Amino acid sequence: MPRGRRAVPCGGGSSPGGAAAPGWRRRWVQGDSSSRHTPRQAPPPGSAGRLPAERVGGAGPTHSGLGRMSRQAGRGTESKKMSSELFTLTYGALVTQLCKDYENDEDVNKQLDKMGYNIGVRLIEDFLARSNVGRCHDFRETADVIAKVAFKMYLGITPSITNWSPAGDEFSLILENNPLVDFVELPDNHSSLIYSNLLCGVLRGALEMVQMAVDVKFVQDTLKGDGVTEIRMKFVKRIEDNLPAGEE
Amino acid sequence: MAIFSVYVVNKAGGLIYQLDHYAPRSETEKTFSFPLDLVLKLHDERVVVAFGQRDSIRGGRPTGGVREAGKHWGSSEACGTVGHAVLSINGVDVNGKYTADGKEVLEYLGNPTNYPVSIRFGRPRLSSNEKLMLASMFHSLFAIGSQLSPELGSSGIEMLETDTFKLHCFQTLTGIKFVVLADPRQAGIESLLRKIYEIYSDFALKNPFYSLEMPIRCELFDQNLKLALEVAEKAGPFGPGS
Repeated sequence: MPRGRRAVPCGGGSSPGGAAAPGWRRRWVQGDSSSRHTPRQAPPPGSAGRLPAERVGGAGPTHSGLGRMSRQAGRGTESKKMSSELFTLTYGALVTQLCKDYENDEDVNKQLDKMGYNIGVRLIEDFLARSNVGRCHDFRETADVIAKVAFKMYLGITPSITNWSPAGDEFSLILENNPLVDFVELPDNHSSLIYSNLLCGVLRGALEMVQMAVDVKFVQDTLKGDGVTEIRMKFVKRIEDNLPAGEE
Repeated sequence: MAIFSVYVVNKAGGLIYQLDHYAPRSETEKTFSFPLDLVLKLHDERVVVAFGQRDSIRGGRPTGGVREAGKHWGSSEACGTVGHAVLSINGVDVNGKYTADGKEVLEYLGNPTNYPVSIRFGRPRLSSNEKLMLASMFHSLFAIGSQLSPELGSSGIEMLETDTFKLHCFQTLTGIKFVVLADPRQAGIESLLRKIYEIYSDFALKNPFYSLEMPIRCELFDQNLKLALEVAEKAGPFGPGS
């Protein structure tokens, strides 16, 4: 009797990035990322599982997306796993409640931006505390840090940076998939709602705290039928008042 | 090995958090009979020893002005000479220049019928107003330090060293300063400052009821900060093990 090779499910372990939806979802819930070899185990400090740009002060695993929210050493290396489903549901509840409260898409967009701003001004400190990146010297560096470190740390995705303006003060972040809009469909009566506008507020608030005034908006959205989600970021000016000492 | 205190200064130079973790109190309690052989005077709302020395109770010494600037943070020698202050009379803590029952200390001690009396002398503690003032002064000094730098983009004052303590400062990219005063031999303060930054970003900022730039009144922040200080102290002069 021939013995077939048993098919090994590709659920856990090292599923490559960009896997199909079910594999992606499983990756989130199980909390491992493709850079780790053994899920559910905190890598030893100093392991290769970390991005070179991220150096966490002291020992401890870094954030690597929602599926695995680990804590630094000193508070115990217990990793707090939270399912991305809960996050998607929470965000969805937030948006639908805002829609009920404001009835007008533009107002909802504004509120989402404001809320994002409040998140951003706090998130930046967490980001700086954990990632230990230094001050960026130009907008290109900023773009790199946002896409490769920040988005990866907080949403587990790495958008690509394209469409630089000739003056180097505008660029686009292309998100292949947006974790906020998993399972979401926009109905026709909310056609001008920018569902993920929270992200724009977060980016604006965070950069404002490091003395950069930026303009952030969505130019393409998969919810509206576009192929990708595109966020356009424009550098407005450097915020000169209240500069920390030494930054002139 | 000790970490004496932690200060957190916001962007505008205001003190938003302060913790006295360990104070090397050199206090002496003695029983005195009339007349007192120490000369007491009022200074800054406290009764201090102006002149005279007995056992370990010290009177004032002339300050060297700028040279003693480093000591200002740890004492109330903002100007003039200050020695040990009266901390308690007959076991009851004094309230500034008044005793606990509202009488003036100098009057009380000038009256021979109150003797013999037991007085405790020691280094006066800084009041919170004084700490606020010192924090703003440090903020300005820090700005001056960065401006004096011959190169652009100076990190600002990172350490201020005296014979009795070292002051370590870390300014974040967003302008918040974390200041730690520690024993000169204590190591690992750099990583402690980063740790305090993390604790701030967690327990202060993630608390939605905490407003930015305001005084931090979060229990969890206090607790975790104290834990972090204990960990750093235990590591001793060799720094935390990696």
